[in-house]
Amino acid sequence: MRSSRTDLMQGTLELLVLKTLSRQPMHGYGIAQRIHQDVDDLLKVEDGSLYPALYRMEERGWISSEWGLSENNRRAKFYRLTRAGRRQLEAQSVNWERVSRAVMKVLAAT
Amino acid sequence: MKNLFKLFQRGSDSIENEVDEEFRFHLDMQTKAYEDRGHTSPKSREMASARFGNVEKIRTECVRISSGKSALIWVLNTLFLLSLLIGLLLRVLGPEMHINRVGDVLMMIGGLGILLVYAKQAGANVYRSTANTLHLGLHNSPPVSFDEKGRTPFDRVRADD
Repeated sequence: MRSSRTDLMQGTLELLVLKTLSRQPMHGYGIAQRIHQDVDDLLKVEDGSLYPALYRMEERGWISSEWGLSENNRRAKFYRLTRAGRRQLEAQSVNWERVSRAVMKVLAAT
Repeated sequence: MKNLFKLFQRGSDSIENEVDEEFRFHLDMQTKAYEDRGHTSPKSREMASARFGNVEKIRTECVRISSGKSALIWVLNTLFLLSLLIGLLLRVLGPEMHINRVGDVLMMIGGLGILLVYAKQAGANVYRSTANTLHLGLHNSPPVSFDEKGRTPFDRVRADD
């Protein structure tokens, strides 16, 4: 485990989940694996913290869920992005870029 | 009809069961992943649990979030059912034509409402018994995981076809 892992900023997890689900429907475990893989283990994401985020996003209508069969033929709950979720992903991505650009500007200022 | 009955029965128990099943699946998959890397079963389970975080706390949070939706559905179902029953009573016992008409309207609202809530719920909760019903978007995304034969989900779906 790397010592330089950074805690995830509030709200960032939702963006990561939305982006992950924009590729294909996945179960919770698959989403967690994919996020760990994509962030190259640089961010500290407890697998369990994913689930309240998933449930909240489902409540907001950004994702929907459905029970299906996993790769090892076990019953698993699969999540997929809804149209509202896709719009949310676009909005959050734009916002994230704006915030990160602003922070970088401040950090680069002499 | 059995599903309709189940819809009215769907309470906190079923929410808790669903959350438990989902977490169990996650922990089992993670445990298996650690075992495949050469760890013993107890050690793998321990590592999977540590990686997951506080199961009880997360479980409580998930049940709380889901229960909000469940309560709303329960209220809607109760209102629609009441509308249906009152409509039926007015239709059967109403002494005059215009009261019968009100009964018809109430019955229609109640019936359609129940059907709508049922359709919405069924879409989210139906257990699909065949792997072919879930579309994984085969042509534009990478595989999620491999099975014991080293096949990707896409290979498995193609093999099933």
